[in-house]
Formats: sequence, C-alpha cells, structure tokens
Amino acid sequence: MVPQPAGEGAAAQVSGSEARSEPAPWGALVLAALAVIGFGLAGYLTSVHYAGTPLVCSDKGFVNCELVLSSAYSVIPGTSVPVTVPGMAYFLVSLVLALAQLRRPRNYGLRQAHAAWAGLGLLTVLYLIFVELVELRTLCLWCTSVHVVILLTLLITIWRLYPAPDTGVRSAR
Amino acid sequence: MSKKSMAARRQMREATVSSRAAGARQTQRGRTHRRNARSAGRPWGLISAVIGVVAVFIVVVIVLEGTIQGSLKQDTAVLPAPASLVQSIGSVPATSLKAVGTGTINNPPVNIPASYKAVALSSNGLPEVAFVGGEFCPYCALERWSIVLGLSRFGTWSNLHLIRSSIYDQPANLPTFSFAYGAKFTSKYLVFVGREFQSNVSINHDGAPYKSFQTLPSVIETAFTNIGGGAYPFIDYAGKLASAGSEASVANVGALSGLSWDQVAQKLRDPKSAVAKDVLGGANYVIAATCMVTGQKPGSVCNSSYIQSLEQTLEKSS
Repeated sequence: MVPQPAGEGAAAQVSGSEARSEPAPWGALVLAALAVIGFGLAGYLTSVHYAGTPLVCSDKGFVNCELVLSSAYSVIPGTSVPVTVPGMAYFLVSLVLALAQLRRPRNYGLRQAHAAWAGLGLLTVLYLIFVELVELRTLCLWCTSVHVVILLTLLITIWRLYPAPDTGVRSAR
Repeated sequence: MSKKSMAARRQMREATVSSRAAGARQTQRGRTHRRNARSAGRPWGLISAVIGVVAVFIVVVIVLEGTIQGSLKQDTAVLPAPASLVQSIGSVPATSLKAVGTGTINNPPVNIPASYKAVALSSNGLPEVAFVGGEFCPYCALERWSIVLGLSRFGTWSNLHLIRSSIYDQPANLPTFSFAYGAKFTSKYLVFVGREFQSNVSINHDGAPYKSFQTLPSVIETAFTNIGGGAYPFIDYAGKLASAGSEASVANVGALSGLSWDQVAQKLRDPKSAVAKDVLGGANYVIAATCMVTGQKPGSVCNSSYIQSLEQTLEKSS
C-alpha cells in the first residue's frame, strides 16, 4: 500500500442536503439583523397608527408619510388593521428562519425557504410601490426603508443559496 | 546491502517522490478548482437580474404615473346621490357618534369675535347655516360628509349629487357631494345655504385656477371674506360660530382616498375606522354648533350629554 500525504488534498465524502459546503455565518447574522430592523420599522409604524406616536417625516409635498399611512391602502382591505401588522409578522418569520440557519448552517432547505419568503416579500413591495407612486402620488420614507430591508434580505438569501461547492478530492484507494 | 534490497529501497523512494508530486499536483488542482468553483458558484446573474427587475419596475411605474396623470381627465361626472346612500349616512347611530367624539378634528368651529360684527344669518325666521366651498377642494370633500351627516339630525336632504374632488390637489380624487345642482335641505329648525364657489374643472388642466361656479349672496360673501379670510371650506353658523379651512389634517382627509361613496358610507358605521373618526368627528361639531343656534332644538339631538359637552367647549372657543 502506498502511503498517502495528508493535507488539503484529502477529503471525506458527504451526502444529502449537506452536500454543499457550510456558508459563512455572517450571512445568517445579517439576515437576522435585517429582520430585527424590519420588525422595528413595522412596529413603529403600527404604533403611529394605534397610539398616535409622532411620525417623524415630512407631511408636505411628494414625500408625505402621513398621507400614505392614513390612506385606504394603508389597511388590509375590508378591515381596519394596518398593513404594518402583517409586516411585523413577516419579519418575525424572517428572523426565525435566520436564527434557524445559524443553528443549522448546513440545512439547504432553510436557505431555500428564506429565499422564497423574501421573494414573496418583494412581490408585496412592488405592489406597495405602485400604490404609492401611481395611486397616491406620494412617497413614504419609512415605508421605503422597509422595502429596502426586504430587497436586501432577498439579495442575501439568493447569495446564500449558492455557496462554493465542496470540491474535496477523494482519497485514492 | 544486496542488489534486491537496494532496488526495493530505490523503488520505495521513487514511489514516495512520485506520490508526493501527485499529492502536490492534486492540491494545486484542488486549490484552482475551488477558486474557480467559488466564483463560478455565486449567483451574480440572478442577483443582477433581481436588482435590474426592481429598477426597471420603478422606472416603468414612474413613467406610467406621469403618463396616466398627464392624460388623466378630471372626473367631472355629476350623478344623483342614491336615496339609499343618503339614508345610510343619515342613519348612522348616535352611539357611533358618541364613540367617536371629536375624532380627528383639529379645526372645529369657533365663536365669531364681536369685532367682526358678523351678521346673524337667518331666513324666514329660522337661523341660517351657510357653507362656502369649491368642488375641487379635498378639504371641502371631507367637510361635506360631516355636514350631510350632521344636519341629517335636523332635517332631510334631497337632490344631492355625487362628485369627485380635483385630481391635481392632494389628497386627490376624493368621493364627495356637491351642494349645487339643486341640492335641498328641508328642516323646521334651520335653513341651510350651500354654495360651491368654484367647480372641479381645472382651467389649464393642471390644477388651480378652477372654473368659477356659483355666486354668493352678498352677506355670505362678506362673511366668507372677512371672517373666513376666503379659505375653503367656510361654514357660518348664523353669525355666531364659524369655521374656515380644513377641519382635519391633510393626512386624515386622505382617509377618503381610493374609496367609493358606498365604501365611505360603510366605514362610517365602524367608529374605529379612520373615515369614521374624520366624518363623525366633524359631524359632532356640526351638530353641536347647529344646536347652539337653533335654541337646542330638537331636544332629542341637542340634549344628549356628548353634544352638550361639545357645546360647552365651543362656548369657550374663540
């Protein structure tokens, strides 16, 4: 038997959903941070709706948060529940997915689920942008901040779907 | 050492060198492969596509918004208000009005200072409540809902018509009524005079100025100018109290955005809705101010505790 050199050339075989190499943990941490920020923004806007918390935003001209947040489009159709409430639930789910990825970094299914969740969020964002610009002809900066958080989440989840494939060389026998 | 053992040792040495070289080549290939695989495995195309789609979407929406708004015609339709709609508004329960209280109103009627020497508006021995507005005006759009609801406690509306406020003013295109086109209010307690000083037709199709519409009786025009400063909407309660300008903030007025008249009427029945807080809040002030000039008639309306409480507030106002 020929002795084999140790080192990077040697690799062990792995299988199943853990076949791809483990992504860097910073990605999941960033996703968790984005979810917390998004939850905070949605929570603030919810408190503005219910508790009358002062809204720090322009109320004149093209940028008019108050007008957007008090329009008929600011509540779930048929209810008086502001859309920021499901928004908070959305970010909560996003946070859970991010934390789960920290705990199980090799679970590819979690990364796929988070990307799909972020994609769903982006579709909602595109609709809300349409409403702001075409229907209300007004922009809400706080709402735009939430939209940016969702877009960043989607981009990072897509990035994490494709970590460098495991190119370990099998040991010769 | 025998030739055989020397040959075996040489073979072992060569095999060791060979396998080390092979291992080094494999390591180098592995490093290169991983480097290439790392960059090849990143979804740059998909990420760029997502960013591109979002950017293109925003550009398209902006262009679309400009195109739509540029070619959008003001809805100048004037339709008779269905009796069912007017009846629905008039039948909003007193409990809802009480629950809302002052709602979102931040510009209620105030006592007209004596210095203005306001004329005590009256007609046929009855106190006169006068409204001056513009059909284009979004604040007037909200105020008319409050007036229709509030005064329905004192009499009956007929021949009201449905219009929409200007698409060029913010909030845009609000569903409301017009007090022109023969609108009539019948009551044994007061006379209502509603005048739309300007229509919702923009002369240059880009906002103000709007076409002149109805003329004002001279005494009302004097009050509108001297007391209200020419601000829409203006309401004069028999020369005793008056309000000028929007009864609520722009944002609250925006609660009517995107709604039909039926949807607004439906929301009036939910005291927690933004629409109810605006309209019913304003209606309560209309009721309280009107009670103060009708001598607390009718008692069934004016003697309720929350209206009496509002009247006390208005009495102290200036």
